[in-house]
Order: sequence, then C-alpha cells, then structure tokens
Amino acid sequence: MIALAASVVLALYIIIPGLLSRFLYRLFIPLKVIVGGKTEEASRATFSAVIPFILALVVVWYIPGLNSIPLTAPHPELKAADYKLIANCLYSESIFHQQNDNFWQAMQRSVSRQILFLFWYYLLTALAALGLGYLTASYGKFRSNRYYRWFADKFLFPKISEWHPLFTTFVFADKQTTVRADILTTTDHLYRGRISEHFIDSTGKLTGLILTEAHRFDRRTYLRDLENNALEISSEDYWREIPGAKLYMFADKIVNLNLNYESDEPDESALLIFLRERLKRQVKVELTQRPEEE
Amino acid sequence: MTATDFSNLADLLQEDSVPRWFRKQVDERSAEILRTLEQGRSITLQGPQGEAVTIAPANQETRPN
Repeated sequence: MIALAASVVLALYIIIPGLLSRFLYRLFIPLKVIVGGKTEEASRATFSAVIPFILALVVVWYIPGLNSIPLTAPHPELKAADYKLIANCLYSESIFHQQNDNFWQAMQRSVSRQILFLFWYYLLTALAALGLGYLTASYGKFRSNRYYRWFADKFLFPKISEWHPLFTTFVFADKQTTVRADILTTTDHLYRGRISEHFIDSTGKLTGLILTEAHRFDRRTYLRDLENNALEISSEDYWREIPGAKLYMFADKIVNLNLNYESDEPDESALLIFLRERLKRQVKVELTQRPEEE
Repeated sequence: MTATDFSNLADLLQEDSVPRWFRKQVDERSAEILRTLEQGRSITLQGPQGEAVTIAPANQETRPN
C-alpha cells in the first residue's frame, strides 16, 4: 500500500510536472539541443519544478482569494491530523480497519487540498516553462540587454549544443539571416551551400546536415586551367551546381566547415569587420539603406 | 556545448553577418576594389533593393567617385 501511495505521489509531483514543463518548453526550442548527462537533466528538472512548487505553497497557504480557486479545501486546521491518520492507515492494515470511517473522511479532505495545490503547481509550472521558453527563443531580440545576457549565460544556455547557434539563426534578431557553409570532406572535395537542417544525437554530437543550393568545386579543372592560364581565371567560375534539391552530408565525412551568415539588415560595424578581413586593409564604409517601399 | 559564455559565441557569429549580395560582390570584385582604394578613390557597391555601400580608404571621406 505504501509503495502504491509513493508511486502516486511521485507521478503527481515529479513526473507529470516534468512532462508538462518539457512539453511546453519544447514549443520554443528543441530539447535535443540542450546537452548534458542524467545529473544535469535531473538538476534542470528540479530547478524548473522547485520554484513553481514553492510559489504554489505560498498561494495555497497565504494568499486569500487565490487559495479557494478552483475549490475550497475545508478544515485546514485538520491538515496535520489528516495526513498523520492517512499515513498510519497506509502503514498498518489493523489501524485502517479500526479507523475506516475516519480514514475516508480524512482522505476526502486531503484530496480536496491536493487538488487545490496541484492546480496551482501545474499552472505555475506551465507558466514558468512558457516564460523560460520565450526567453530562450528570444535570444536574438534581447541579447543587447546585459541583465538578460547574464541570465542567459548562467541559466538558459550553459549546456546548449554548439551546433544549434552555429547552424541556425538562433542568435540573430533578423530571422531571415541565411547560414551558408563551405565544407571540406575527407575525400578532399569542397562543397558549399545553404544549411537547411542539421542532426545531432542524444549527446549533442553532430551526425549530419542537409545543404540546399549546393555546389561542388571542380578542383581538377580549376588546377588544369590555373596551369594553362594562371592570370585569367577566377575560382568563382568553377563551382558546379549539384542537381537535386538537398544534399545530405555525413558528419564523419566533414574535415572542416567555413560558416557565413548573410543578413539582409547589416550594420556598418559588421561590414567593416568583413571588409578588413577580406581586403586585408583599413577602410571606411558608408551604408545607404534601401528606399522605403510605398 | 560552449567552453566560454554563450554570449561570446553569439557575438562572434554576428561579427561578419553581411548580405549575400555584398559578400558576393566583394569576393568577385576584390581586385577592382583594392585597385580603386590604392588609387585613393572610393567605390560603391549597389544592392538589389537599392541599398548601397560605399567603401573608401581609411584616411578619406566616403564620397563615391
């Protein structure tokens, strides 16, 4: 009987809130991108459940008005005696038979109290998960706020897989940003294209990625032409389009990646850094924005 | 997972996020851009939506020639 009661308590107080929290959090960010072992997962679950648990206790015990929603739990003065009686009856069958009527009355009052508490516990757990999910997904929007950055570094992303920010527009406020990659493979081929999707295993390790608008560099022809017309050729002319919409690259065939992020909304500092890197000299830039559409 | 703070990685990724048309033009016309800058003049790269970036030597006004 004790084991059965313990299982019910475990399900109601740990498993269901955990599932609820994960389900809602997953609406904002795929949970696979958060890596870590069982210990980290348990710590995260505890952290995301402890605060709603404490708040639910505060609501039920101390806030008049709210502590009668969705129902009123009668006889709060009997709370300790009821739980004691229930524990005794679950422990000993003889006590249960002696106190049968009292047990069921105490149980009825306790169930009302638990429904009241669980209502607030689940509601606050859901709100916490939605709030954390929103904060997590809005990194690009809020990242200039230093308090948010500190909170994100310490609490939201200490265990995030590095592939998620690298391969998606996660850190960019402009979600139209395109992520492109030049990829050198173990077979000494060079590919480039737009990263549309990436895949990681349960430990956060990259297993593969899908390139669209994929091109392969025709190195053999390039080297031949380079030998014949050293000054006339441009490497840009040797990228050959790969037929087919999507090219899957296995991660274990990738030697290195050169990533580019193309935003439609640049700022001058980004342009300057890019130009200094490409031209290897100091320059000044002036950006003229596109005319407003009428 | 990142070895440093996540925001450091985010800053790094944002450093050179430039429009595709701009990146393409710089890559294709880098010799021309460098030649123009060497001559002390500025050059303007035009985007598809009417936006433009004028590049000038560091010691000169960004007035296109």
